[in-house]
Amino acid sequence: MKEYCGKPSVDLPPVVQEALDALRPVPDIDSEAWEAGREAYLSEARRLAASREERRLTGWLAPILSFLKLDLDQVRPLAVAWRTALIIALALGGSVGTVGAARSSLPGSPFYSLKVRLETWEMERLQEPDEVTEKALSQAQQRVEEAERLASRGRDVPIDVAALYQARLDTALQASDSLSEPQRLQTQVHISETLRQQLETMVSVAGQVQDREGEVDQVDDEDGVRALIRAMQETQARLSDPEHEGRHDDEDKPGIGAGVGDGPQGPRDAPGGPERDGGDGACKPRGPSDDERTEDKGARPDLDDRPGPPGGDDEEKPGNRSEHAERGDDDSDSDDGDDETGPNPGERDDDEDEDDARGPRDGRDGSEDDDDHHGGEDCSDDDEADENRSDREPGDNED
Amino acid sequence: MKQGEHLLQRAHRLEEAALTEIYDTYAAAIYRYVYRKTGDVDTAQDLTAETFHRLLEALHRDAGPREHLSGWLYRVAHNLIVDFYRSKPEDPPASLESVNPSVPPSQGEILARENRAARARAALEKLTPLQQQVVILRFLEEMSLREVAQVLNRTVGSIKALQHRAVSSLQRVLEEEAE
Repeated sequence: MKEYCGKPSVDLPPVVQEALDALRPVPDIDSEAWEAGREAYLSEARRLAASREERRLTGWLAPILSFLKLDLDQVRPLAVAWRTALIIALALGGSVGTVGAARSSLPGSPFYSLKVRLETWEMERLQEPDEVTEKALSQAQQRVEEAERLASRGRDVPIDVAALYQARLDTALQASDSLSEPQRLQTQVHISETLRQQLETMVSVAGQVQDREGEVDQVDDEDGVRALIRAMQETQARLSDPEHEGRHDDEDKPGIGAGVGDGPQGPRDAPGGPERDGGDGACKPRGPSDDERTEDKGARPDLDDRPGPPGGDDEEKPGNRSEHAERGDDDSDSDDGDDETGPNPGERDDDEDEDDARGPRDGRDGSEDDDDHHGGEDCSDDDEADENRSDREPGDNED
Repeated sequence: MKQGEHLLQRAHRLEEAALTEIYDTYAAAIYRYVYRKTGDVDTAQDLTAETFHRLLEALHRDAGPREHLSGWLYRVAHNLIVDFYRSKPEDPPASLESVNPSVPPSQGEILARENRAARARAALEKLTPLQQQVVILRFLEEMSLREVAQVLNRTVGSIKALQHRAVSSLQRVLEEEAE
């Protein structure tokens, strides 16, 4: 047997060498695409690191809360005691873990309502308008980050998030009205800039949601992401309105419904402009009028402008790869427990070998699944197994 | 502790610097590997991205490689390539017959080069997946026998045997095609 040991030698049959030389060149990737792929990978890494941190914070508390809930439901006197203890703990800031868990919770989590209550409580304690503005803006930013995190996990963003966002933004604007004129102007510039950044974030999130859910028509127009975008756009329009003199009560919001397209000179009193939301208006996102909804649905400028994902649209990726990727995950999952001897991502190589022993790959049909191969012999890492297997490999009959 | 293992430990903690280093070290090699198997830049980019996505997911579950990171990455990439072809039964890898051998060089050096590469790829496709991997890793990625053995979870002796059979098979396929 002629051996090709160490680093590859040039001692190959000329015809093989020629074929390999033909395969050697690999086209460079466009540097922009490469950078985009790298950035996508790193941002996912950051997201997963943050997610792990959150899990670390909340993981230990879940069973305890679950236990508490059980008691609260079943034993009323105890419920009162537990609740009182919990409130005292929160009020004194003694339960750092609980508060921490609540603060990092997301909509849908059992801690989330506690988080919102804590925020409200914090807000109520503040007296100075500049502090209130700052706190309310910070809490509005929280909503944006929650939406971002939910979307990145493939979860729907509840419309309540947009409602809470709008409420905090209104609070910030109202509080800013109490500031001195220079301060108010400065604060509103700050709010406007914050809104711009938040809008960029949410447009990007909307893009992720759209990519995930496929065609544009399948995206729920009334989901929290779009409601957030609308709330931001409308508030931006309000801030851009030169007639806006800091009136933020419901009666003074005729310009809200005018929409972005109307710009600063938008018809504040145009019919159908404002969408009033009754008594609890502060807690509902103010959606555009029906006309605006129609226009918005047609044009979708926010979604069209979003940056495209690296590597093209899902439709352009290998067909049904998500399904196959999922299957690959399962393989990897089962592999990871034992890197040395257990199954690993490479184990299917052996299966492939089995598979290939029955015929060339292009002879396979897509209906085969992995189970077909697992019943075969165990292809362990020894030469004998390779040799035996090779007997059935096409083109190796002379062996 | 080996430097690679230390890097992996940091990666398991999802340290950004470690994950960046891993990407910058291995992404180009994985891309080349996938391209040589598929012959398509977009597919190679997609599957490379998916390979690293799998790595992150595995690390996030506190699973994934504890050693021989490059081997793990190549194996995942290989499995993704297999999945890719399985998901497209209507569009199998190019066969020798599907490549037009009559395209004269006069049509341009680029076309001729692409044609040679497609024919070589089609010949390679006639080998078993394991043989293909050995050929690519050994002669195109220029790995040592030991490195190939790590990637494929085999012994060095096994790789030697595979390599011998792969070269013989490839030679025969190419010669038959030339006749």
